[in-house]
Amino acid sequence: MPPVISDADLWSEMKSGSEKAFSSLFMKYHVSLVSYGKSITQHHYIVGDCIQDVFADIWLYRKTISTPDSVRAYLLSGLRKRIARKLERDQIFKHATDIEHVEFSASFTILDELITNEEMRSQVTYLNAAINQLSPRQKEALYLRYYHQLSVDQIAEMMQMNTQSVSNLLHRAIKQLRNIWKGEIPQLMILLVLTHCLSTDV
Amino acid sequence: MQRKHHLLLEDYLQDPSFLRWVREGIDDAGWEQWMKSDTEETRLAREAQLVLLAMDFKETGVSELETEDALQSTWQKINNVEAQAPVVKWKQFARMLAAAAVLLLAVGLGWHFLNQPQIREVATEELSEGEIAVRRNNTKTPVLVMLEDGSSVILQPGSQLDYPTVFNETERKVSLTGEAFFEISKNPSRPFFVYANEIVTRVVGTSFRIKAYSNQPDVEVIVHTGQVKVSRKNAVEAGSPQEISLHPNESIRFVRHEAAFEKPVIAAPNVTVPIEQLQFDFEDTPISKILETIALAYGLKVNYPEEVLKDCYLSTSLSDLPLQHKLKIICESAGGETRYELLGDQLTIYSNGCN
Repeated sequence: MPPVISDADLWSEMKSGSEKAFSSLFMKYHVSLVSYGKSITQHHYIVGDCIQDVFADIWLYRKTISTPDSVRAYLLSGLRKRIARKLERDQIFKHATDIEHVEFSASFTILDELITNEEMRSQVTYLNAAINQLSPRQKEALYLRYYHQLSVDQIAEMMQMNTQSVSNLLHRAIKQLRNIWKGEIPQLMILLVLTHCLSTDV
Repeated sequence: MQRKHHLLLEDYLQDPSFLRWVREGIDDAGWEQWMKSDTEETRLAREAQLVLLAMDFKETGVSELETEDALQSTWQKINNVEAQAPVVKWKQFARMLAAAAVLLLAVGLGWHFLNQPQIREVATEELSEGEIAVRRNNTKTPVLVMLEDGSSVILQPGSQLDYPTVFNETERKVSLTGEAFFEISKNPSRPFFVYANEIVTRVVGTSFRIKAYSNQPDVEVIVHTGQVKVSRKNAVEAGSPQEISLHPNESIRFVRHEAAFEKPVIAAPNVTVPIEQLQFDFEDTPISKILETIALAYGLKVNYPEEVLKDCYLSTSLSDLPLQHKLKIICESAGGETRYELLGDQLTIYSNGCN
């Protein structure tokens, strides 16, 4: 395996003109950016173009841009802005009547391989359904916070909210899930156990 | 590794060691064992575990090839912006630029051009609708411009090419100020027109050079291969182009203050543009030699696996073809997995040998 070079090192090499470092960053983050882009707009055909624009700008302005705390956050944020701007512009030029927004519409999935038993599986399935019913903003915040491990500050900057609002958004989402966990799962379990017993009896 | 205990569920959701254990099954802090006990802490950790398992995200399936393609397109995009004036996206803006160019032209050339009624219709007016790219070579060396139809243009310093990013279906039109060498991809159903000052050059598939600096008294067209037809722009616009045919190695001069063409003459060999002196008819030539020739002609830097290609020889004629066609033929003739990648002025050949 080739040695892993940190994002910060790649970034500074890129800034001093290394096409190789630029390409490495592109290769590293392209898939994540495509996924995120497709999660926040229904117009999938604009995503690839927007990603290219984000990277083209990075290269063209490499000498003057600063080094971000997190390259991942910088790219995700850049893509989000780019898509929002494009949707807005298209709306102006096409006089579209339906409002096109950036809205997180992807679903979370279950990490099936690491589920060890059936009880756990039914709990996780239930929880997953609950998570997917959260609001798009809550889901996006959860995704950025716990899938990409961005900081609350970075998410606030991206979603154009203040830091406290993002904290609240995340906190409420987790609390909602915990309530479900505390209130409804035991009942659900009883139900599941019952059906299980009944079905094995027959 | 030290296992950390947390008071908040959120803290578990961002504990790297805990995440590794839940998501990847890598237990570097004895989580498995610890979770077997039933305490307030383990109950919290267990909730966190379930949340993480229920909050996974599947990234879109993007193949490595697609990512590489996207990277290549990004370099292309960068190229379009770098080394020349910014790409102008809207026709409206292109018109304003054209008007500005007319002004400069008028100031530079004196009153009689001001009296020409057609003079406002220069440059981008003739181009089709859609996005217009304005490519100006502000560098000291020739710059390669690739067009959407596969044609290639070598743009000389101080020259500008305006072209639609996508040509329309029935014809291809570009506008040149300054000097450029064109290699046009063959397509009889979509003729290619170059508007340059007062003249229009029509081609089907060929290579030629046009010299049309706005501050020089003549416009010149020099044919390299194939056949082109030139006419005065206002004749074309009036719908009665009196076309003059030019053949390989012929050139024609349009004298601007007389608004007339001189007789075609045999072109003097060009000594400044390497591509016109180079031979692209190869017989049993090592691929390496062919690649070096191409690099020289188009001002590219070429990387190729020398050892792998050392016994590969080709006999082929590439004279009349734009760059991408040349490269495609070379790669296809070499066979195997040979392919090329063009990033800016970097040409890279990938190959694991020839057939």
